[in-house]
Amino acid sequence: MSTAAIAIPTRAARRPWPWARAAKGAIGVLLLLVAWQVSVPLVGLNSYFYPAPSDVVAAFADLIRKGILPVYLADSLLRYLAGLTAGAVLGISLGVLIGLHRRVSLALSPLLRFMFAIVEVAWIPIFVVWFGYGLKTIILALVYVVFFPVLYNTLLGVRTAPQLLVNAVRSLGASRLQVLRLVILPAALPGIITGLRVGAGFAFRGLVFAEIIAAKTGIGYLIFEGTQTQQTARTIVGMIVMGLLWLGMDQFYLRPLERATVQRWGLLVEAEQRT
Amino acid sequence: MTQSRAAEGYVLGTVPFLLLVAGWAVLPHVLQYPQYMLPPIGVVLDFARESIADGSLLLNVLASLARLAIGFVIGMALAVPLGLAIALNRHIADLFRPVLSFLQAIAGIAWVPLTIIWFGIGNGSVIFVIANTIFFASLYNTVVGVQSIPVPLYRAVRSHGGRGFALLTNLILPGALVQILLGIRTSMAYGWRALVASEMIAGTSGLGYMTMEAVQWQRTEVIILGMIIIGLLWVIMDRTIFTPIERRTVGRWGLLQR
Amino acid sequence: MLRVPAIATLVIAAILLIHWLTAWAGAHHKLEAVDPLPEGRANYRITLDFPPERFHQLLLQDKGRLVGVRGNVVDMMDVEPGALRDIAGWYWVTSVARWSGS
Repeated sequence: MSTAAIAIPTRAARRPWPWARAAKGAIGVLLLLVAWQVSVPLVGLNSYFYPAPSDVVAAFADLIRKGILPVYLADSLLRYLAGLTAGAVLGISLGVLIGLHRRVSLALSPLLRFMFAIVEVAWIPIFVVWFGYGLKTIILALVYVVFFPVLYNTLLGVRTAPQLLVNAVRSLGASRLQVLRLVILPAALPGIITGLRVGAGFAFRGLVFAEIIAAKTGIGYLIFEGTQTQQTARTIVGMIVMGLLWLGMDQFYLRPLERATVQRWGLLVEAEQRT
Repeated sequence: MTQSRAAEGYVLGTVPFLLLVAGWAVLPHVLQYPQYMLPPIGVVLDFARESIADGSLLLNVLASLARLAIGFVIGMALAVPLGLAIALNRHIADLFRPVLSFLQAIAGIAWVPLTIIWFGIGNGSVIFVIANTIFFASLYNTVVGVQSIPVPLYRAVRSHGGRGFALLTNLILPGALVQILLGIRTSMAYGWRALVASEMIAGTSGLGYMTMEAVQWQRTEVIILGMIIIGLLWVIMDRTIFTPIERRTVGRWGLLQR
Repeated sequence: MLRVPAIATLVIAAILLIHWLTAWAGAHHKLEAVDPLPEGRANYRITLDFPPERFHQLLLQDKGRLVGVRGNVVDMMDVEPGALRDIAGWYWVTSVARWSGS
């Protein structure tokens, strides 16, 4: 009985056909689609309740042909990027500022932790009261959602900068700015990247949520609108686009960025800072 | 941290809260703004007293927590067996992984409009979203948990003749349990957000619903109280349930694979 | 390792560029029907390939006054030349034509 019978990725001598995994994955997807398509007549509900894959494909083509999907996609992405950038810039700068002053970080930490405990979505109602429905509220919500994890993790990152190194560099005559650039920022970088990754994830979910509640365009709005206008296939198109967007963002931007900093700075402090 | 530093932390930590409350109390006297934007503390406290007295606050809190619990149970009940299957059988893993990765990328909240069509507004939709969120989080943790069991342990158990069911109960489940328990904290964090968010859109009771509903009536004091309770509840849950779980599992089994 | 995001960004930029170029070319082509372009506000008949949905009507309302929708055709008044260029740039617009306004 060989231990290779247990599917642990060991450095086993067995080298299966490299396409096998991809093929099996594709089969998995196909199975799901076929099962879905076949179940439609079995379930017997109309496409309002239970659209078939064919309905979804048709809706997708329709949305593109009518120019709706590109515009919604662009709107969502613009909002997302705007909120992400603003929140990240605010979070990082404040995080560094606060992190540099021990007393201030001690004082603000409990308040920050409590505000973070008030989940981001819970701020949407009061934002709506203050700013109404629409673009301002959405972007503000996004900024807030990104700001907190970035701030918190930046703060943690800055505080882990080894005092020894700071002293060493200072004793060599470094100015405050140089200390910042040479010691503190590199030390804080993994924390910053973690914060950005968490913030990006929260912001994406927050975007969809905010768009469902307060928007007139966008992928989140598409998901909502589809159910309101008896076009549930469009809702599913929206959900699929959302999934693809997130996968794309994670694969092509977030993970490579994270890996780049890990490879360069060699450490990745994780889950402690995630919640 | 030395005693004096810890104490300093506590004392300093209260300062921002005090400043915030003071600012809140003073603001109406300094600026002119309509009351619905930021009701005075007194109004919020009055509402708090009212809703505690007539039990409505407690009802909402319990409703929310109940949904969280049910969603959690359903999510875990589906995730753990599937996670075990995926981690133990390469074929199942390869078959399901792309599909599940994709489904995971569709955040729970995006399901809400669809669930409203299927289950209508109310418990069904909210619980579905929570279960969905917790399912994917726990699935990932279960798989990682099984995969982090050191291979020598497998060989050890097998060399003692253990296999099949015995292998499952004596090695795999306890081994994966660490990671599963550790993952509960993060999956609950996501689940809690999913709860509040879905109650806001598709709920008929509960904290999220209460907070969102108040927007229509411009009863901002309800919103503020709702937000505070949401924050407090999470802090309490985290302190009393999840963090101790995390600490106990680390303490007992000693390994911390995050 | 920063190669992947860089390539992804380039691909997206390329897609956007192609989209913009085809929109510009398409607009050029459609605007031939109303050559020469009036200097001020004018009335136009916009034809689509399909009955406009609320989405399209909202977009068009930003560009001028929507006065009528019949089948695939939208009648608009008081449209500035810049706004008309924008409308012509949309790929789902089949043609634009001057309209008497009656």
